[in-house]
Amino acid sequence: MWFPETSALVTLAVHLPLQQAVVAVLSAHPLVLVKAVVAELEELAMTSDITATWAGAALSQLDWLPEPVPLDDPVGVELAVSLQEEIASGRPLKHPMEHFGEAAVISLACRAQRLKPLMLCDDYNARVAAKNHGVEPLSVHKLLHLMIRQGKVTAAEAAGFADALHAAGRAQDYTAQELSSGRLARVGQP
Amino acid sequence: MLAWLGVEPNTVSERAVIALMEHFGVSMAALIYQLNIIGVLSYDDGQQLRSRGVTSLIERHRDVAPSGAATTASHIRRPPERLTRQALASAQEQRLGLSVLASLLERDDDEQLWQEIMASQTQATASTDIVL
Repeated sequence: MWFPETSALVTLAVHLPLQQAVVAVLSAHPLVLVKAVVAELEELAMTSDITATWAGAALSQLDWLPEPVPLDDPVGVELAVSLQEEIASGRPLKHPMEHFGEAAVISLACRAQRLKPLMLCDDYNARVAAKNHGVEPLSVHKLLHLMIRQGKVTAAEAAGFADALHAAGRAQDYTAQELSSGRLARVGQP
Repeated sequence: MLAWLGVEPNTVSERAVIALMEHFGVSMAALIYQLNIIGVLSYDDGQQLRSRGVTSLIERHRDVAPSGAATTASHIRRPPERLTRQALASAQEQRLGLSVLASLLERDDDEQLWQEIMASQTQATASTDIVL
């Protein structure tokens, strides 16, 4: 079961063809959208951050996902608050919901092990936290690597998506060869 | 040990104490404690030195304490070395994200830091058995 998270939805919103390719693949799987992710996107869209426009676009592209589910209170919320602190690592939050989307996803997903939860996430620190709580995380670039390996896109198409993300300042530059081999440094880990 | 100060071996003069305070930028209390720990200054001798007053001793031996390092608080705060080493090891094992280490090192949490931290680690490929 896939749990798309705030940072990944922002990444997908940067380049519509990328978003369409990922939606085509993930729509075949059970998906969960957590309400906190939507709330974080809404909060992010109101900031003056460079990602505000993409967050706004992401909010208008949620129709491929099911109705957002709330986090159970108090157990899930309390765990999410603690995870938010863990991911923030003492740094001041740019807005109250920063990191709460991924924290809420981990909080919910880590207690649903039977469903083999997968978190699509472009925040390295959140991926580390997810892995350490039994949730398998994937960045959008790692997903592109899998899509190449399983014949869902060609390496050239994936490189085109990566180029668009790089040109927008959303990611480092990755070649078709790096995407094919999976040697993706930070975005390939964990 | 203190030959460079021109003092007799195994003796610690007040001049040597002031010079060492200057050299290491530590207070008299800290230096006397350390000299006592390594066995070159007795507790009583240390207390006697302290009773003479730091300011007057520095004034008397100004030639070996020109900067005031021993009496000026630097206000530099560093995280404990053991804490930083532990955070580094945990980040390399991916038990800890990079942001904690970035805060401790006062660095940006970016690709460059990740490359430096993981340079000694085997770079795994992004393999997984997920079926799309």
